[in-house]
Amino acid sequence: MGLGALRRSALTRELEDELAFHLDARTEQLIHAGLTRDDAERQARAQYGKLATAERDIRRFAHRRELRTSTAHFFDAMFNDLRFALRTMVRQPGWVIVAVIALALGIGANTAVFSVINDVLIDPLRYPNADRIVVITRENPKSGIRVTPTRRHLDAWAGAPSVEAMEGMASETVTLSGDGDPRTVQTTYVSSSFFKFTGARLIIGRGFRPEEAAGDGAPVVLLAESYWREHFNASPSAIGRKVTLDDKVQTVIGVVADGVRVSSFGSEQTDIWRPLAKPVTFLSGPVVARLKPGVASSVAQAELQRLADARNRADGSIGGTQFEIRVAKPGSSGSMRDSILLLGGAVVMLLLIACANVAHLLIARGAAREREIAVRAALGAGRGRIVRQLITESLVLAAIGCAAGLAVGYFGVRVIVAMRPSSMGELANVHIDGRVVLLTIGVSVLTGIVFGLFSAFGGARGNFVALRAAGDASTNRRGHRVRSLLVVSEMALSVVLLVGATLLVRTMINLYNVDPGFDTSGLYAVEIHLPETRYPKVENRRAYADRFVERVRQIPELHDFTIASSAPTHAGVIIGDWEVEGRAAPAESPAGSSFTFFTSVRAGYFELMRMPLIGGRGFIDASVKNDERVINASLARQLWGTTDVVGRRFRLARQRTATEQPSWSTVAGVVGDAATIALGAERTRPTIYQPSESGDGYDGLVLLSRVRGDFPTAALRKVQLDLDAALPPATPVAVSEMLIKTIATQRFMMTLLTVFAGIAISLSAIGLYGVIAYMVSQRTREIGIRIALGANAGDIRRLILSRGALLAGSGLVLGLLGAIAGTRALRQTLYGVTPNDPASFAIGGLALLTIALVACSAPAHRASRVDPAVAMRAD
Amino acid sequence: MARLGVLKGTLDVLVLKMLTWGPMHGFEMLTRLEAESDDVLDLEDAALYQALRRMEERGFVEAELGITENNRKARYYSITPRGRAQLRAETANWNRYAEMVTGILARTSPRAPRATG
Repeated sequence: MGLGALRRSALTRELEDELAFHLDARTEQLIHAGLTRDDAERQARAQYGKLATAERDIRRFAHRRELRTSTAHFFDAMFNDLRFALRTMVRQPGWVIVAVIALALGIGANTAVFSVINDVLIDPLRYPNADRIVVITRENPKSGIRVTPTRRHLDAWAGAPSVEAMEGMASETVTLSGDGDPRTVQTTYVSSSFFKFTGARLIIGRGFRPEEAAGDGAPVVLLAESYWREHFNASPSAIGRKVTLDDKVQTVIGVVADGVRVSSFGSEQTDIWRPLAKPVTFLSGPVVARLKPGVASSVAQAELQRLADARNRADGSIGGTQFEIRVAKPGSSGSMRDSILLLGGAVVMLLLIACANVAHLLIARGAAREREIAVRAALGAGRGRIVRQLITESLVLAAIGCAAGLAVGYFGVRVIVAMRPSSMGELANVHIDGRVVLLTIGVSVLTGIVFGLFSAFGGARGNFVALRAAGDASTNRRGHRVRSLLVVSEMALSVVLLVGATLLVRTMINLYNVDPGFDTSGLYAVEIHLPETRYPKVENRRAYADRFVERVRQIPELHDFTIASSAPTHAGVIIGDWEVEGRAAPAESPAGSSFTFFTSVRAGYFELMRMPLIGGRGFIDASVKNDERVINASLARQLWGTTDVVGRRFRLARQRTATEQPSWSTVAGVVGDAATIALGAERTRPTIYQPSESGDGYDGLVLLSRVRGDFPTAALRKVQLDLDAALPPATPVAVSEMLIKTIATQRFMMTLLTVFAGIAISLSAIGLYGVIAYMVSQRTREIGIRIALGANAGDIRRLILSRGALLAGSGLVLGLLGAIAGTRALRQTLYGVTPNDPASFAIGGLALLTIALVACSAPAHRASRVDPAVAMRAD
Repeated sequence: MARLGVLKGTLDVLVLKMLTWGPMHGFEMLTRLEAESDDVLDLEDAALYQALRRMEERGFVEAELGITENNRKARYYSITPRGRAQLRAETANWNRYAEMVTGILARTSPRAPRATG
């Protein structure tokens, strides 16, 4: 017939046969009607019509048909697999629940931490065109400390060729009055193009016009959405209303949707937005910019550096310290990044442990189902089919685990956001978004396939065709070996996490016990903010301070008090090098930093704070004309290399913009180092104390008082309101609490890592229990024989425990080795312990061995109670 | 009189109707059609098989291998429930259409135009 199709399926052959049949039948019919055979055949063909394309038509039709049936078969098979998997799971829910819990914890922890990574490191600002957004800071090359650029920089960089748009912002806490009790609100000054730059949405009203952000700035404000909901009832009539900020009346012109990220060092939620105009001379937070397409950060950095240097030269200012301009992607720096990546590493380990646990369970089940699988194979299921079925089961398990994990992750994120330390303000906006969900699903599918393969090939393997007696030595040994390996790995990973957690716990204990350099018992601080609008001149602030002191003297509980410019953890900073009398060049600071903390204090400050005086004395006369200074031991050592420096003179190195030399200061006394910013590493920061009757801190003062019993809050509140009814009264805070807040980050990390370590060791214990219990059940006969031959309960217990100890011991050794390498990542976070601190390693190891012992004790006990008669009969 | 080519779309309904008389193979259907139509129908053989394939794809007929009286293997087609439903629907449509055409052709004068607005 000449129908030579390349691939002849049954259907194709059938259709070809049909055609042949037809032609034959037609031919016979025509012969019957009287034609010769040849004529009949020819006519039959002619009558058929389209014979030439018949072959192609047949093939096309058959192909289409087959495609449809094979897809139908595929989905049918898959559906069957799914139904079967679900049925087996429902019938024996025990192991499913255990597996799902393990997965939920492992996947959930990963989801939560990845949300943090996604939100803080990958795309923290969420501005449009995120790939071209950069953050610009100034960096001190010696110390690596970064600061914000200044408004002068912003002006100098206007029109830079590599930058498409640039925004600076300035945040300020101000007093809002005229609407009930005065209260403090967080405001941020931004330009008119800021909201377009950040992709923020206006809910009602309009944004700032360029002219409103120029010159002196117009008295208009935008409300943040949450503020508008809380204080204006989300009413559209808020537009046109007036608010008074620091005694200046402003008109509300619109409301901005929440969620505008303001990149800053510890971001607070902005309540009210104001136009950034000339009078605002400072910037807070880095400058953000959008580079032109295709421009690299390095190119922009060089360009901005050039422009900044040119401007400095033109202004004639040199600046005491040279700063380099840094252009970087948002979120790409800082200790925050390291901490978060650390957590990422920890949860990955946790996930591996969870997967190992589930693989265990599947292998154990695989061994138990050997018979069932052999039967299916005997009934004709191909090996591929069986493997596919097992993998489907694992994927179903992974899917359930994924859903549970997302739920756990959701709560995990909420917990993280709730207990975030204020130093990690960036965590406020962490949430689960599309990217995180996608990653979670991807991870789940991957883990499903991986332990599906484990269960298919790691356990029962090989001879699918024949039925074999359960308990075949070789297969069980292989399955057992794989499971043992898994347990050892689990425990090794757990040890790493345990050691890490122990190190952090010890760090916390050390930090808690750090001597802050002063006595915190009963010490309270009340930080009073005097806004510039009401207290523009130094004299105004001094007048307030004098009246304040008078009134406080009348409160008996506060008899032991002083006034200073700042509370211990909020000291001000002087930027600049020091010049020492008798030496030509400015002293090169060994720490590479030109930062000196300062506090303005009155006479009696050091006595109140109970700071140790190493030499000299405190201030007797704290009037401002006094050229005496008290310095701390670090500053003394920095300038002279010794603390025996009373009477020596020093001054700030002259700034190039200054027209005259700063005057000399004399060292009146040297005090011990005290915590100025945070507990721990900061104690060696040089600090200088200036005399000031009013504790002149440029924007307010702080009352420090040692109180026995409760703080007289009401009395002090009355004093503040009496002195100035327009100022919201400041609340007293215990200084010890302020100190603890500074180590909140470490505490946060410690808590999380401890939780992860706890989960990890629990899962490992379950895994170990499973392996040992299974081993016992497999060797019941042997145990029975031993007992019959005279072994007592203790011997059996020891036998089992020694097996468990072998596994735990191997895991321990591997884990300790891993920990030696891994804990290096904690170096920055630790305090008072080295990353390879032997005590912590010992504690971690001991914890593992103890829990391993507990995990093995039940099976060991059960083994010792085996009845030899029953055991030897059982099979 | 000249033979008439099959009208578009009506071959399917004819085939379905025939299959309600019982399963048949392709050649059988052709000879039947020739007989039932008094040889009025001018149909290319290939067209029938194409129609059968179409209907097989759409689920109106299904095919099965069977044995003829001459002991030869042939592909037998039978109508499915879906096919029966299709037959009912298409028959109704055909009758309505035929009625409409006959009605217009029988009229000696046009109807009054329908009032609009």
